[in-house]
Amino acid sequence: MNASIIADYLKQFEDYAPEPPKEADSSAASSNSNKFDNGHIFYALLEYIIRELPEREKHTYCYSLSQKLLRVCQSKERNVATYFVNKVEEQYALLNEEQALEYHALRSIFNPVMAYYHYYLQHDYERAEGYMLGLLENIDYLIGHGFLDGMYMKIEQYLNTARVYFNAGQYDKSARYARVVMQYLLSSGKETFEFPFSEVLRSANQLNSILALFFNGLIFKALAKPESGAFFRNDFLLAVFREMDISFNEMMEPATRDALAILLRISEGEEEEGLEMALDTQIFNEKVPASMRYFVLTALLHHNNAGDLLPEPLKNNIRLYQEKELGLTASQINVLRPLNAIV
Amino acid sequence: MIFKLSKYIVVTDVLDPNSEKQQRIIFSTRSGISALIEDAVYQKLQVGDFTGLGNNVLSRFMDYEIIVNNEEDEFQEILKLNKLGVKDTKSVSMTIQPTANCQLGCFYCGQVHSKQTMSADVQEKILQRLIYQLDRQRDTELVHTTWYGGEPLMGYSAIINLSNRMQEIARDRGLAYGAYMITNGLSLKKDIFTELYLHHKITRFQITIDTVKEHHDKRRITKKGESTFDIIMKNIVEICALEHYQARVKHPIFIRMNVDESNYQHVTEFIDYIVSLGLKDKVEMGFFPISNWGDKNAGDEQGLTTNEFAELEIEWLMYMQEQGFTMEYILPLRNYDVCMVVNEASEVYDATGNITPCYEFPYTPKYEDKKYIIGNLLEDESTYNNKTQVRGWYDDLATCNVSPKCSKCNLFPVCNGGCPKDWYNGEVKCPTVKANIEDKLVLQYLMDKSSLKTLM
Ligand code: SF4
Repeated sequence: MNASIIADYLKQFEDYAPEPPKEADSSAASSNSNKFDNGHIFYALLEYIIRELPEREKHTYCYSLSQKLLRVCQSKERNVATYFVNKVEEQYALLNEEQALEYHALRSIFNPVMAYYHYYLQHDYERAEGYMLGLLENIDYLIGHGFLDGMYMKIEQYLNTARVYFNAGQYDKSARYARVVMQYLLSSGKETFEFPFSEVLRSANQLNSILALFFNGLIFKALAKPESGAFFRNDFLLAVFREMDISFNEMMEPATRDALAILLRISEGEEEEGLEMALDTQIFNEKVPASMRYFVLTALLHHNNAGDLLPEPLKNNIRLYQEKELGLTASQINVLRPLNAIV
Repeated sequence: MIFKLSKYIVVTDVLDPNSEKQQRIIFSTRSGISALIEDAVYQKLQVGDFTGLGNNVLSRFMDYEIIVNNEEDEFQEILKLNKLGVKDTKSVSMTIQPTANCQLGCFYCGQVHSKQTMSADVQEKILQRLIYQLDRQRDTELVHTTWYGGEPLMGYSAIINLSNRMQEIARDRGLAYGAYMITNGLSLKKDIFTELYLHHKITRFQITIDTVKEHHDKRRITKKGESTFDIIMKNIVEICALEHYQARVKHPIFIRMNVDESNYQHVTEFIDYIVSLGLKDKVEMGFFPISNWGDKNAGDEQGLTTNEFAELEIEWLMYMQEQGFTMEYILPLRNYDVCMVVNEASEVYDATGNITPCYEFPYTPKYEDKKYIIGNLLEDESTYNNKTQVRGWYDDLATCNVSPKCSKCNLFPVCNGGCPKDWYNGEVKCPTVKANIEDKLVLQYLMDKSSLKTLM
C-alpha cells in the first residue's frame, strides 16, 4: 500500500485535541457499576459467605485482612506485607477441609492476594502458581454451590495465571490460559467453562469493559517484551487469538471485532490486507481497547515509513493521542517498540 | 473469634445535642481515619455489640482498625508494625549542617556556634555515605536533604557543591531528589532563593519569626544584639513577589512562630500583619511551643503548659481559617516512625563530620557523649556505633523501659512517643495534640464538611 494513502488516512488526527480531564466518576465506586472491578467481587463473596455461614465477624475480619495485605502489596511495603502474610497464614492454619464451604470460601479470599504477594513482591512465581491453581479449585466449588459471580473471579484468575507464567518467561503456558479465557469471553456459547458468561453478565458495557481490560493486559504485555515475539508478528498473541473458531458474543463491540481481525491479519504476515481493512473500518474510537488501536496505529505509521511523510504538527498530535487517548506514559512509550523509531 | 472495640480511638462529644441525628466523630489512631458515627452505634460498640452494624459498616470498621481481634495485644502489634514499616521507607534522608556558625544568638537556642564550615573532605565522605545508604536500601525512590545549621546559608558553597553532586547521584540511579531548608532568613535574598529553589530543588524554606517585630527583635537578635525582623520580612516580601515563586509548590515559605508566655498574645496580631502584606496565599504558618534545648531550659522557664498551648493553638487555627488561609489537614497522621531517630536511612551530618540520629544533638554540649553519636565520617566505618540510645526507641518501648505512659495512651499510633530524646532525658512531654485532639477533630470536620474528605 502506498505510504501517501496512509498519510491521508492519518489526517483524521489533525483535529485531535485531548479532552479535559473528567470529574471523578462517583458511580465507579458503587457496587451497581457496570464497569468491571474485581474488588466488588470479593465483597460479593464476603456477602455470600455471610449469607451461607455463621460467624459473620470472623469472616469479615478475614476479608479485611486480605484487603489490607492487598493494599500494602500495591504500595510495595514489603516488610509490612510480611506482617499481614503472617496473619493470613494463621487463618489458613485454622481452616478445616471438612467444613468445605468455609474452607473454599476463605481460601478464595486469601489465595489471590497471597499469589499477588509472592508474584509481585517476592518474584516467587512457583509459590504464586501454587496459590493460583488452588484457587481455581476453590472457585469451582463455590460456583457449584450457587456463587455464580465466582465466574468473575475465575476469568480474572485465568488472566492472572497467564500473567504470572508470562513474567516467568513461560510463554506457551501463559498463552494456553489466556486463550481459554479469551475464547470464553469472546464467544456466545459455553465453549470452556460451566455456563456462558452472558448468564452472569450485567450489561454489554460490562462485557466491553472486561474485554478491554483483558485485551490490554495481554497485548501491551506482549508488545513490550521482545522475547515473546516480534512486534508485528508476535507468537504469543498469535497463540492466544489465532483461529478461535467461535461465534462472537453479540454484545461485543463490532469495532473491537474488526480491530482483532486486523491485528491477526497483520500478525499472520498479511500486512497489506490488514491495513486495507484498517482503512475501511472505524477502529480509532474509544470503544476499541487502547492496545489494539496502538498496534494498528503503529503498523500504519510503520508501513513503507508512512510516518515520515507526516508534517510535524500531525506527528505531535499523534504522540499526544498515544499519551492522552491511549493512556501510555512516556516510559511505556519508550518500552513499547518500535514507536521511537517512527514518531 | 471474638472482637472488641480498639482502645486506640478518640471519640468526640455528640456534635449537636439538639439535632435529630446524634452524631459523634470517631478517630482511629491505628489507621489515622476519622468517621462520623451515630451515638447509638457508639454506645453499642462500647459494649462489644456489633450485631446492629450492616456488613458494609462492620467491614469498614475492621478496615479502619476500630473493631479488632480481641486476642491482640494492640500495643505490641502496633510496635511490630512500626518496626517493619520503618524499614519500608522509600527515601534516604540526610540532614546536613554545612556550618556550625550562625549570625543569631537566640536565648532559647541550645547550640554552641563556631566558625567551622564543612571541609571538602567531609563533603566527599557525605557523598560516599549517600551511596552506601542507597546500596543498602534497595527500594529507595527519593533522595532527600534538609539543610540545617547553625545557619545553613553561612555554608553556601558547600550546599551548592553537595547539592549538585547529590542530584547527579540521584539522576544516575533514576531516583527523585528533593530538599528543604531551615534558615533564619537573614541572608535569604531573592537571588539566593531563586538559585536554591529552581536549581537545587529546595521547595520548603522554614523561617522562624517569633510573632511581631517588638517581640521577635527581643529574642531573635544577632550575636551583637542587632534586630533582624525588618531584614527578614523584607526578604520574604521580595521573594513572595517573584514571578516564579509558586512555580514548583504553592507555599515554598513556611513561617514558624516559637511561642511562649511572653509573646503568645501577639500571634493573631502577626497573622493580621501577614494578611496586610498580601501573603496569606503565599506562605504557610505554624506555631510551636518553646521547649528546652540542650542546656537551655527556656521551656521550663517561660514556656506555656501543654494545656495552655493546646487551647491557644485551636484559637489560632480558627483565626487563620477566618482570615482565609488555606488550611492543610490538621489531624495527626498514622506514621510508622516517631521521627528520624528510628530510621536508619535517616542521618544528620554536621560540619565536623559527626553523624547523629537526631538534629538536636550536633553543636550541643549536652549531647557530646558517645551514646548520642553514630560516628565521624572521617573515621573508619568499623568505629561506628549503630546502637545509639535513641535508635533503640521501639525496642525500649516494647519492654516498657522508657515511657510506660505511652503504652497506655490511645494516641500512640499517631504520636509514637513524641520526642524519644525527651523521654530518655526523663522529661515527660506529650505533644499538644494530646490535649486538643478532640477540638482538632471537630475543626477538621468543619473544614471538610463540604467535601466530606475524612468522613464515611
Ligand atoms: S508522648 Fe504522650 S501523647 Fe504521645 S504516645 Fe506518649 S503518652 Fe501518648
